[in-house]
Amino acid sequence: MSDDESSLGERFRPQIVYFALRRLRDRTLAEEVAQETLVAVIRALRENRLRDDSKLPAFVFAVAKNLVHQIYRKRYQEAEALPDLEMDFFKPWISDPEAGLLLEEQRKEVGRALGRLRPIEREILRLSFEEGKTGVDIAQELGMGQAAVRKRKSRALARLRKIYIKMSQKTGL
Amino acid sequence: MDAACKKVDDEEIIERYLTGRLSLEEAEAFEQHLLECQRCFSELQWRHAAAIELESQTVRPAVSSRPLRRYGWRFATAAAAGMLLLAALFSYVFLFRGVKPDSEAVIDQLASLGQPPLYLPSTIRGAKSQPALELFAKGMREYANQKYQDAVPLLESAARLDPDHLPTAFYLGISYLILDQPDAGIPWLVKVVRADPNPYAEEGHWFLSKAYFKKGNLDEARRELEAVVKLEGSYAPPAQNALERMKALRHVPE
Repeated sequence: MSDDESSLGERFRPQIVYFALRRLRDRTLAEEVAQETLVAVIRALRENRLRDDSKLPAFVFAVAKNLVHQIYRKRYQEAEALPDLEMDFFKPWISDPEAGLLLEEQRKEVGRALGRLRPIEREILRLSFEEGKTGVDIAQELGMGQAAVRKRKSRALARLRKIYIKMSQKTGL
Repeated sequence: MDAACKKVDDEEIIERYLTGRLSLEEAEAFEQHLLECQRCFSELQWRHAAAIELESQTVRPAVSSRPLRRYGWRFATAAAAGMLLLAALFSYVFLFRGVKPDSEAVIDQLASLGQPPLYLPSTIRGAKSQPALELFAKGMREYANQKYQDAVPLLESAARLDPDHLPTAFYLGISYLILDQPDAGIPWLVKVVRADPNPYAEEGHWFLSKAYFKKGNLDEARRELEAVVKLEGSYAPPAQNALERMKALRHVPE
C-alpha cells in the first residue's frame, strides 16, 4: 500500500466507522465496513475508475452505505416486516452504549470541560443536544430572548471547544 | 470556514443530526460533507461526547420549568433556595429511616422510558390476506404517529386474532407503558419475554423493568434488569448502570 493509499485510511476511516456504527450499532461490524470500504476505494483508484478527485467522498460514502445495506438485508431476512433499510439510523443515537464506547476519550475531556461552564450554559446545551430543542424552543422554555439564547449557546460552545482542544492537545489525542 | 460549514452552524445541523431530526437525505448529505471536512467531523465528535456527558451528569430537577417562565430568574433562585431547605429537611428525616432522600427521584428516573422504541411503518408481507396483520399494520401507523391511545384498540384486536404474534404483544405493552398504564402493559411484555427464542427478549425485559419501576415494585424491576444484563446485548450497559443505582438506594446507615 502506498503512502497515498494509507493516508486515505487515516482520512476516511473514523467517519466511516461512525456512520456505520450509527446504522449497525455493532463496533466490530462497523470496523469491518470501514475496512472493506477502504479496500474497495483503493482498488477503484488503482484501476483508474475514479478520475475526478472531488467525487471521492461521494464514492466512499456510496460504497460504505452499500455495505451497510448488505448487512441489513442479511440481518432482517428472517423478519416478517420488510424493514426500511435505514430504520436503525433513527433509533436514539446519542446515548447508545456503542457510541459511548467509541467516543470514550472525547467524553473524558469534554466531561471535565463541561464542569467549567455556568449552569445556565449547561442547561442550554442539554436542551439543545439531549432533548433536540431549537433555539426558539429553548428561549421559550427558559423565558429568555432568542438572541440571548443564541449568544449564550455559541459562547458556551466556543468555551467548550477551547477547553476541549487545549485538554486534548495536552493529553496528546 | 466555507459556506457548507457555515450552513452546518447556522441551521444547527449537528444537533439535528445527533437527535435524529434530519431527514435521511439531509443526514446523508451532511455525512458526505463530514468526509471532506475534518473540522465539522471533529465538532460532531466532541459535541456528541458532550451530549452523552450532559445526559449522565444531569439529575433532572423535580420542579417544572414553568415558574421560570412566569416569574423569571429571581423567583427561580428563591424557589431553589426553598427547595434546598426542603431537601435538607427531607434528608434529615429520611436518613433516620435508612433511605436516601433522593431515592424517589432516582426511581422516577429509572422508570422513565426515554424514547419509545421506534417503528417505521413498512410493507408487511401478506397483510392484505391476514386480518390480524392488517390490524397490526394499522395500529402501528398510529403508533408511529405517536397516537398511542389510538394504537391500543387496534393492537388489542390484532392480538385477539393472533395471540402469538410477538410484535403485536411487544408494541401493545409499550403503548400501555407510554400511556402510563403499567398494569395493562405488563402482561403483554411478560408474554413477549416468555416466548423463546425471540428477537424482542432484551427490549422486553428492559421495558418490563421500567413498568415495575413505575409501579414501585423494585424486586421485580431488579429481576428484569438482571435478565437484560444476562443477555449481553446493547441494553446490558444501561441495565448494569441501573442496577448500580438501585444498590445505592439500599443505603442503611451504621
